[in-house]
Amino acid sequence: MIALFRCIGSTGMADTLLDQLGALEREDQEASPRAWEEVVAGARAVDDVAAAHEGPPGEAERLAALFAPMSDADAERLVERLAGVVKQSHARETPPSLSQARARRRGLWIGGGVTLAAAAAVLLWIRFAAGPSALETSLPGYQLAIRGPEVSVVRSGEPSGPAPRFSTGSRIHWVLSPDEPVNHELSAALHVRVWASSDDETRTALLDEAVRRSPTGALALRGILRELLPLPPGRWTLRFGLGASPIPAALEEARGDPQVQLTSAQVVEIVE
Amino acid sequence: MIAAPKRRCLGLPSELRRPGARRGRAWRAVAALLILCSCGQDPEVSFEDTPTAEPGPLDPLYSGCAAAQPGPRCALGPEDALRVWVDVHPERPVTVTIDGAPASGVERDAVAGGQRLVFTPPAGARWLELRAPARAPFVMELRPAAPLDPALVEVDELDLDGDRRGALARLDAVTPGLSGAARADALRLRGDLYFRSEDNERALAAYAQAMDALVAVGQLRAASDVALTASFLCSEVLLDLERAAGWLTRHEALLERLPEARLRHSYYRGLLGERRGDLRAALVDYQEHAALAEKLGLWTDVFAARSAEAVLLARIGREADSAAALERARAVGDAVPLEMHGKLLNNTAWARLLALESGRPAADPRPLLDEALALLGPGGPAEDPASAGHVLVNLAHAAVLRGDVDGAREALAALAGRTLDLRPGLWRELIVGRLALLERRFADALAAFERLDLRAAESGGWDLAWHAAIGRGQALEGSGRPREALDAYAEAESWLDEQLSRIALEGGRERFSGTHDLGARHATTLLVARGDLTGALCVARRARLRAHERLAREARHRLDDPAARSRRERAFDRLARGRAAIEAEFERSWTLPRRDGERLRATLAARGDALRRELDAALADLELAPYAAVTCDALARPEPGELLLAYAPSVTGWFVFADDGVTLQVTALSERVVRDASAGLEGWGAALLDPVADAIASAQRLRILAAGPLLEVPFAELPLGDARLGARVPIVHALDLPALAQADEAPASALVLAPTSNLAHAAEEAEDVAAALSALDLDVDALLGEEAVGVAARERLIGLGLLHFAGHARAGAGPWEAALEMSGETSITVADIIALPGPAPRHVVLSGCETGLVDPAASGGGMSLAHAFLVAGARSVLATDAVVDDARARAVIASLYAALVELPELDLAAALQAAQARAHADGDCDDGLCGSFRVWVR
Repeated sequence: MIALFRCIGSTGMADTLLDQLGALEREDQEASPRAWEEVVAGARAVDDVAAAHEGPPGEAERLAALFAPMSDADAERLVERLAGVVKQSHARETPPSLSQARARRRGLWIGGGVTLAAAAAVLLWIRFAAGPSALETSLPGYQLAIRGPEVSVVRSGEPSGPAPRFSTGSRIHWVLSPDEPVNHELSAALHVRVWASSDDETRTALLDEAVRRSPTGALALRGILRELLPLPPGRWTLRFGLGASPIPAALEEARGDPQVQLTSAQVVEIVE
Repeated sequence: MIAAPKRRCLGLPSELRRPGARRGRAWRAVAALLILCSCGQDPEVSFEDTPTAEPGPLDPLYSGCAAAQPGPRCALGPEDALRVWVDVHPERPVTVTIDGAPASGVERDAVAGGQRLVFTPPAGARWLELRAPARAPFVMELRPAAPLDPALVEVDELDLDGDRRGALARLDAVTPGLSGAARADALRLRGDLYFRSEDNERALAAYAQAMDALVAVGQLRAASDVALTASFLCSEVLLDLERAAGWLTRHEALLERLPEARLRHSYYRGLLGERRGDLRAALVDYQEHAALAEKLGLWTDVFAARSAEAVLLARIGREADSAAALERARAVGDAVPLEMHGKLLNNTAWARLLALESGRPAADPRPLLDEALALLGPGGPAEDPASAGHVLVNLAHAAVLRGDVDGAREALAALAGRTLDLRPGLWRELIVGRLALLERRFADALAAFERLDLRAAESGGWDLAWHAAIGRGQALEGSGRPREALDAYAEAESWLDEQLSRIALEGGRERFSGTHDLGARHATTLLVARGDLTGALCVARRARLRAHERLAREARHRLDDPAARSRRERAFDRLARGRAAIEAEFERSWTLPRRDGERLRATLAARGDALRRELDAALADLELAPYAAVTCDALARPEPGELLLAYAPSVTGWFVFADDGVTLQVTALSERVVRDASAGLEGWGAALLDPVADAIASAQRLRILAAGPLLEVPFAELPLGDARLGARVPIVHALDLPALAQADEAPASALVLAPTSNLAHAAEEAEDVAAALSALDLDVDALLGEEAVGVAARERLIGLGLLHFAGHARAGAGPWEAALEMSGETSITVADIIALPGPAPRHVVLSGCETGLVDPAASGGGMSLAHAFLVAGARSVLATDAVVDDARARAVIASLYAALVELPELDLAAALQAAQARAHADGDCDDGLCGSFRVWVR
């Protein structure tokens, strides 16, 4: 996927904000189409919604399985698994799976009427002992490493200066590495956003589809710079934000979000 | 801690402080104070399927136990601090618990990718436990150190009061009543008392008994100290290398049961290795010891090891590396006793003396020696008569080097009546001989050098034997005995041939050879004076090619012995496989969490170093037969129409030999003329070309053999008459390796490498070159962009007619660190090229920065990527000796290939001549940059 930037600079502010809101809405729609909420609420049958669903082959079945009410036996098993997640997070031997935890919470909420009492107890207990927020903020810190050569006019391969230089056509290989292992499920579900700030503006883009993920949480951004980060020439300060939940488009908002891990600033110089 | 109660001298080693020169409160403390006193394939890794690194259990290095036993079990005195280094990322927690409770006062430092922990367990502590995430814990039993038997304390105090005889008598009286550990301590104390008395044989006898007794009662740490002390005594004081080796072997037996003993084993093995002339192993040992000691914060050890390393590097001629090692020693600061700083001053001066001795610039060593003498001399704050003797010898040496007869006499007079240790005694002999030469007392000089020769041979003084041979030659010349003088110089040259194989591949052989050319200079000068120009040119050429020829012989020459051949093939294969595995692991490291990735990359760097050491060791082992130097007849003769210009250093300046295969002429150039000419191209042209202008006028091609600073001269750009030299004739620079056996028909394949470089013109260059090579009827293969990774490229280098590289190259901190940068942070290094398992590309074009960078202090220009290809069998290599502009490089290369396709054969020199002419015509070479392209040949 080619990530598109949306300006949130000083010009066109209103349009930009609308764009952002629209984008977030689309992201939410993609993740959890609203029609399925009526299934959860008991207003429509799962088969009806599945039949009316428009999407890639197999998606309707996947969503039907996800949103269908739980049986009691399923609820029991889920409670046990959740307890296991909490136990794991206590032991800290293996990193918690945020995506699993999130999916299970959603499943409980969706199946509400059937398993409410047990679910509520478990949720409360989770919040008290470890809590979803505690789980989510356990995402480790991330650091950016710039691999591969910068753009250069000499053939020595030495760094050209304090700020790495790239042309818009440069082939880049950047890696975001977690300080501690992140489990496979979380790694696969991580959201990644970049903010690029110049003296005049700040741009942002989602990189969820652009990055390649390792099972322990390392994310690689590899390819042609203008295709990954279509920034015009200039000096840019880059920050990457990572989180188990969708990351706010505004950097300030992301800064204040305890569920988002921000990398330290990396200045790069982009030339034609 | 107790260790060898004597030190080794740094440099002209200001020897160890004599035993007993300084007092401690107890014999253990005395020993501790005297410790070590050295003076002197596609690396792309699936991001999706990568397993997590699985670190092993905690296996810390530790130091500080008064006694240590297997278990591990550590005996501690009441105030003893433990120093521990753990291989755990500095950002990861390591918990230290003692008897189940968190330890207090733990000092933590991030060191060498791990953590150093220093803490003092409380009295009565029983169990130490270290824990880190995802690692099995390390547990060590602690117990109080047994106090020294009161009777032995009494003996020690007698000795400290100056009554050594009384101490020995008392020890004789109490020992029969002791048993077990106390008896073992008594035997050790006896050894130390003899050692301090310089009664070395008795000391060794007592140490032998003590060693057995200490091992028997499980006091392995003490046994280790005894063995290392005895080894030191044998190698550094008695120069009895066989016995020293015997003690080290005994110590080696402890290593498995007492891991802590590894800490200093390498240092003492280094001392012995250096004495034996095994400079390769000694350097590795010193560096290993320093690295271990730095991890633990054992500053005295760091100081000693870095100082020893610096002295050895200075001996090889690696002055910059030596200075860096000295700086690392100095950085230890106040953590070591004042007397050791005195020795370091002496050693720093010694490194300067060695540079001056080989004719290279260095600061005046006298201020350092004066300062050292003020510390170590009579009345100084760290008075040490033995060390002061070393300093005085060095002051005499400095005076002789600057031709100061009075100064040398004065310094030698100050040594009168002093008893010097063996090595400084030998150096004094050398100074006496040199002073006699200065005073033209040739008979006295000859006698002094002959005495030195004998004694040096007896004592393993490998460098002194070389100095003695040259001194003898000078004395014989002065005495009117030139034939014998030439024999003496030849002896000095043979000695160099022998020593060269004792230096590691990456240890500075070329530097060693280049900085030990004094014998060749004397011989060349004498032969020219006698009118034997052929002989003189031969001596100069052999001295210049020594290091490269040796390496080419080890790495490439046909080996008749199948076993040796097989060993070499295995060594090459091991390097190739190891490199591929390391690169793949390196790539995988980026899929790991940061700390794991950093840890893995540090491990891989060490593994890479180990691989190169293994290659070096394997090649060294191939030398089964005594080395046979290249004969004069084997040297390449000029081709028809070719003029060989050899610039060779003489005793007082330079010679330029011009040999067209029919006529050989020589012209002497004064050092001043060459030095003054360095202001610019005009000056160089007048100094270096005008004397041989007539010979050049009739030449169709020039083959230049430059040396020293002349290696950096851009000959093609020098004016001769009204034209550049490069405009007159094609020029090649030669390593001067003997010609290869006539090869089969040139391979018809070519490879173009243009890795991901983010250079604007490299990919275009690669396309142009591929097209030109196809026009030359070569089968062209290309590895471009992300496909051009190290392993894929290395596998394709064999049997090519031509290799073209366009991209980034780096010269590296050391010549063997030079590399072509390939995609994915992979590379083709000098070692990869040397160890190619088949014939290297016949012709090579390296269009990157500094691919042919020369080292003016090394023979033949040292080692570079171009040099490596030639050693590996390439016929010609086009390379650069400067940072190259991308666009300009592409322009030169385009002109080069345009010319190449018009030539009857692949003649890089003629093509470069045309390319440079084009650049000049276009005004693209006004800054001389296109002159940084050169063609090197064997």
